[in-house]
Amino acid sequence: MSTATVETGVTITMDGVVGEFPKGTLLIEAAVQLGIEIPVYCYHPKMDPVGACRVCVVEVENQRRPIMTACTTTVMEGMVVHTQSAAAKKAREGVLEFLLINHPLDCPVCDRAGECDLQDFVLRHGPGTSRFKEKKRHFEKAKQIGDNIILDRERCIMCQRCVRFSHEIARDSDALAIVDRGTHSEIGTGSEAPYNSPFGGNVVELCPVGALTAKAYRFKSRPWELQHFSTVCHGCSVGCNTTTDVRYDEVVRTRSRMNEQVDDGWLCDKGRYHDLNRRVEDRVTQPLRKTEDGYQEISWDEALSFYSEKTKGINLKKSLVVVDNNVDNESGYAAVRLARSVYQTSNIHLVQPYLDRVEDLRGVSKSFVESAEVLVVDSVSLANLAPVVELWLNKALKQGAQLITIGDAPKNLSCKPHAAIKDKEQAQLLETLKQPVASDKKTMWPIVYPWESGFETSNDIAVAQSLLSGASKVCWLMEAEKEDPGPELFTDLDDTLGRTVLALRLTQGANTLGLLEMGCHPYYGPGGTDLEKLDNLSQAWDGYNSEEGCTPDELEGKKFDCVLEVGSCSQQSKVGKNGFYLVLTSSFNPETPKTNQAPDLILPMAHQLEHAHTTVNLSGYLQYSGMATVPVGESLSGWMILTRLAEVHESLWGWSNHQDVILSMGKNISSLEGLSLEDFSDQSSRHWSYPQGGALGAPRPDLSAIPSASGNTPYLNLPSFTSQVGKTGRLTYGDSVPTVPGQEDPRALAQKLGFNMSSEEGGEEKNSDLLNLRVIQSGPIQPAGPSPAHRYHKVGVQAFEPASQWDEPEVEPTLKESEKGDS
Amino acid sequence: MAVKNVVLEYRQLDDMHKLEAYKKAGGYSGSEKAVTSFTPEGLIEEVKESGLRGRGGAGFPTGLKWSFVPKDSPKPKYLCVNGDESEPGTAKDRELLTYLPHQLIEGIIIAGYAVGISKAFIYIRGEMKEQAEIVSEAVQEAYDAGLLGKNIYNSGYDLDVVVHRGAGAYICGEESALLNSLEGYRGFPRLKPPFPAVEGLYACPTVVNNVETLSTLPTILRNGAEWYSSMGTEKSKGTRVFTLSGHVAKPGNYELELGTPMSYLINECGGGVTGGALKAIIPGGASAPLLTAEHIDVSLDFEAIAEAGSMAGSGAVVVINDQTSIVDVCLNLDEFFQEESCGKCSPCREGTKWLMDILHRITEGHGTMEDLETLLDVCDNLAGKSFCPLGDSATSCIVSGLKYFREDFEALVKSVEKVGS
Repeated sequence: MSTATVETGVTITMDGVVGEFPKGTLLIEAAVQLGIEIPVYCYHPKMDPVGACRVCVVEVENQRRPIMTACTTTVMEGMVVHTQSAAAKKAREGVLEFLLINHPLDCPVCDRAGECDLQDFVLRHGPGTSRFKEKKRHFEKAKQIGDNIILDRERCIMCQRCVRFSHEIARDSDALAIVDRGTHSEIGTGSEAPYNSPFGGNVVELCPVGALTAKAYRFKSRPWELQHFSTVCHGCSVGCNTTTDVRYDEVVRTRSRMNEQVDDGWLCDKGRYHDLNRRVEDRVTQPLRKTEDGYQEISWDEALSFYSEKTKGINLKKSLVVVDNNVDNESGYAAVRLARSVYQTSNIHLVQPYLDRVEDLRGVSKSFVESAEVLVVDSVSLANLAPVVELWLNKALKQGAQLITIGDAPKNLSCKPHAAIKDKEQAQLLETLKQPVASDKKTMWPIVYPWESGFETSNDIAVAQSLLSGASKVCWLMEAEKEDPGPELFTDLDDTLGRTVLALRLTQGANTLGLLEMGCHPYYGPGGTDLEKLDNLSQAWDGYNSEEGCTPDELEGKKFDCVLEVGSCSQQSKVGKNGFYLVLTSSFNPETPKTNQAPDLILPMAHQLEHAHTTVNLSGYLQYSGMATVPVGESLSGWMILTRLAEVHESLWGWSNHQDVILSMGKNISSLEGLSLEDFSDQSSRHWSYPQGGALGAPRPDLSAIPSASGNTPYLNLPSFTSQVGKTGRLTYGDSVPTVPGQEDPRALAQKLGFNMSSEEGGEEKNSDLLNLRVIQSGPIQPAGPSPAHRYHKVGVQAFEPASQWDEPEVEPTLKESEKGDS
Repeated sequence: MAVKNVVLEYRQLDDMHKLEAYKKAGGYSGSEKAVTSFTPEGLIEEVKESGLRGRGGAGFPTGLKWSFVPKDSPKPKYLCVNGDESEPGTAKDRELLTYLPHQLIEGIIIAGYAVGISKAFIYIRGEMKEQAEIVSEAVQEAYDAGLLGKNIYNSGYDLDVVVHRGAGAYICGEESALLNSLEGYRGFPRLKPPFPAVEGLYACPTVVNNVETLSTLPTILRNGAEWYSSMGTEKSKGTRVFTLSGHVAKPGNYELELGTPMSYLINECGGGVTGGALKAIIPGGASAPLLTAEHIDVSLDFEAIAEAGSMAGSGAVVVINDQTSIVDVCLNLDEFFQEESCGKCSPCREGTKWLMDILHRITEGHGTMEDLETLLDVCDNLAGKSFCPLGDSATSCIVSGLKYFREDFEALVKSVEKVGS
């Protein structure tokens, strides 16, 4: 869309309010912006309009059929729309009555009751009484249609959201469909095969009623017993924004929290369900000390004494500190400080090092992948590394992008590529990129669902080359470990070729980019600065080892006097004969490593849902994940433990709460300069104060404080849309995310429509040397929510006395006006 | 005033489903004339001048419909022949497909040439297996004779025709549902706009024409637009095949000039009402509202029937005698509509079933006066609020039935109330 068409707005009047909107705006979108509620079921902002449920009917003046659906009608100059006229109200009541006549009255046993769009909209817009005297339609209840999904056909209102998601977005092979006709219609896979999509959880979330329910959540909770916490998925490097629903400390459900920059509001099942395994059997709940009879549970005081004793006789300069790629920024930062400043060692590594790849791990934005003309999937399994990226791919393909795969990539993809070539032909394809963009653009039949049958996959390298030769925007998807093509290929491309090629290198672990930025690296310091240039840091940290550590090759077979591992337990082989091996982890099976090199001391680290922290995702977004539930046993955040360890060495960092660490990061890491918790605004923490006592029987949360009555599809409860969208601080990667010429930035468009999807506006950019990071600070600063830090009291570690700001009586988070109305 | 066999001209001759006989009688001269002596633009003009309007139900001017197809589109264009004749009471296309398949193919050549289409699909209702076979044979004959395929009449014009059988859904007679069905999807109507002329089959410009419409084209070409437009009324030109059924002595297909009085069709052609006196008339297929005996002289054209409060629709005239309860008629028709509702939109999916349930209850003797108001209100919530016109169609008989024959409903309800008291 060119800017010109957007500028020529169309003026309409809705319920007497005049508004100007870009051409092509749907009436429902206009209503959102004008703050007028129109109920919807089938409409979804991420899917094509379908006009099936008819509940969004409004009256439009001067039309042959004046009752029109707001979800399918676009604004026209001079249009006069009434949502509350007698005709509009009657039509809407009529539709709701139709939806209710065969809907069972089983709300008392329905999981959705309390967050059901049918309940909510009938209450606000429906008829007060029922005229239906006939027999209701009956289906067998609770039909299992997939491993995780149960269908209640009687409750289904045939909005087709699940069917459309399955077809349009996920492109499932055994997609959901409507089976049978008319009043007998039901959802199912036409083939009778179970619906086991890797993205299947989304259809449960999309369902506006209780027709589709997740096996994992069924009968686990009532919505009003839940507390909702804004968190970030740790399943992979995408870092999809999530809402963690907690029932009295128990994590019972994970839902998506749409953030246009990071995800589309979809989660993969892997991410959706993996947090539910928080309380695994091998969970470490207390410090464990190795004895001759196995591991012995000890207190924190004992653990720290033991640590003190063990490290006294050791030359800590000969230490190795290894951080797992899933660890949060704060713990990584603390690990770097402990290693470089306290231990004075230069050997600080990631489990998956990516040493030589750092510079080309520059993030590629989601919008670049979605708008690429040609996508090359180079032997990478998206399903393993970053399942959600496949949905970005689907989006690009739907717009006509061409897909080339190399090696065995196609067998892991849900769609058929236009060309599939062998591994050894990759070099030839890369040669094509060095040629100027060919004037005649060759394209094959677009993979618009489901016209996949419109072409045959070609195995001819020449076809792949011709597809690539005419493309000016190419996205190369590959594993970060893969050395060929190296970064130079893409960065050294001649500007005059007229081609932008970016490689999305998918890393292992959820926070590799963030940890590199923290300085978990043997050659670079925090912020990617040269170790020599860290005078300030040296001062702030009271000494700093600026030597370069070993390369991963040098590390092989080398033994250390002290090995400290954060987040995993994989470095047994590096522990010297009389060395001390200390592990910070949240799960550990004491049975497995029966060697001498089993950890001497294991300290319990909190799960990612049990403490507030930040991470950086593959596109370079710095994201805040709130504390959703109490840490199991006596576990603590990694940074807290590391701070305690430093204290043993009489190094006092003065970090007593999360804000202190964040401020220190903001002070000492150039790319995060000035960072503070306020940058994450109101998404920072729990939505309302945690019930005292924290156990069953505790007072119920104050319902008036629940932001949205219907939590299942926040952005569909339109008035509260803006407040529900996830927010992130933004770390963008320099020039690697070009804007698309001639194409309207969808976010800008969304903003014009009133969808507040960004926190970037007016931000200042700051550069980092290593990753060429820029942090753009959020706009308006809002008070952070109450911190759960006080809950660490019971662990009894005195140094973690909460700072005075958290001692204030817990304040209810400020609610937007629009949110209050609904609850 | 008489039966005027224009479309059905060759129906009077034998073996017209065979190419040889059809050609001998003068067939394929219309398409030859179109392709060899007209430019596509000129041909569209000719059809516009003839005043031919769609015979499927909506009565949209055919030439105008063709002219909506963008000329400069780089995409292929398609012609879809709507042979999914399923409107209760209608059997005209069936007759044309059975006996005059070559006339349809000739019409396809004319339409295809006018719009610049080189691929046509004949979508035939699933139940009409025999007709599909007849048409397939005729298409093969035409290919063998060089009347289809490459370089037709040495004009450089290419046309391929594919015969496709539907899977048995009334909704697929709605043009966008037909396109979905043809593409291999569920027969759900599509959002409009975009209209098929702009984005139809496989998202390419598409013309969807009824069998009778296309079968009329050869005659128009043979005899000229002026001749054709000299028949009929001012706005409804030419002739039309009416399917007469119900309580008449001689039901059947009768071709009449548009504007002929209904009484002529019922009394002269159909031999009068049987089994009783005339009570009601459905003038345009099951979707059309009822007319009463008072409307016996209504002129059979689009405008006059609309003025009388109904619609010309598919041209199916169903005669109902006074021994029939209108409640039964309504129930019969609504059973059909609820069975055929595709289920896409809530009002039609739920509303048709509800209406049927209430009517069932009334006929079984459990109705109340309140139910009659509910019927009307449900109809109001359904008509004009459904996704496609099927929802509207389901209400027309009930609304008009309650308007003209409320006593039938009340009698049923009251007799029950009496027994109950």
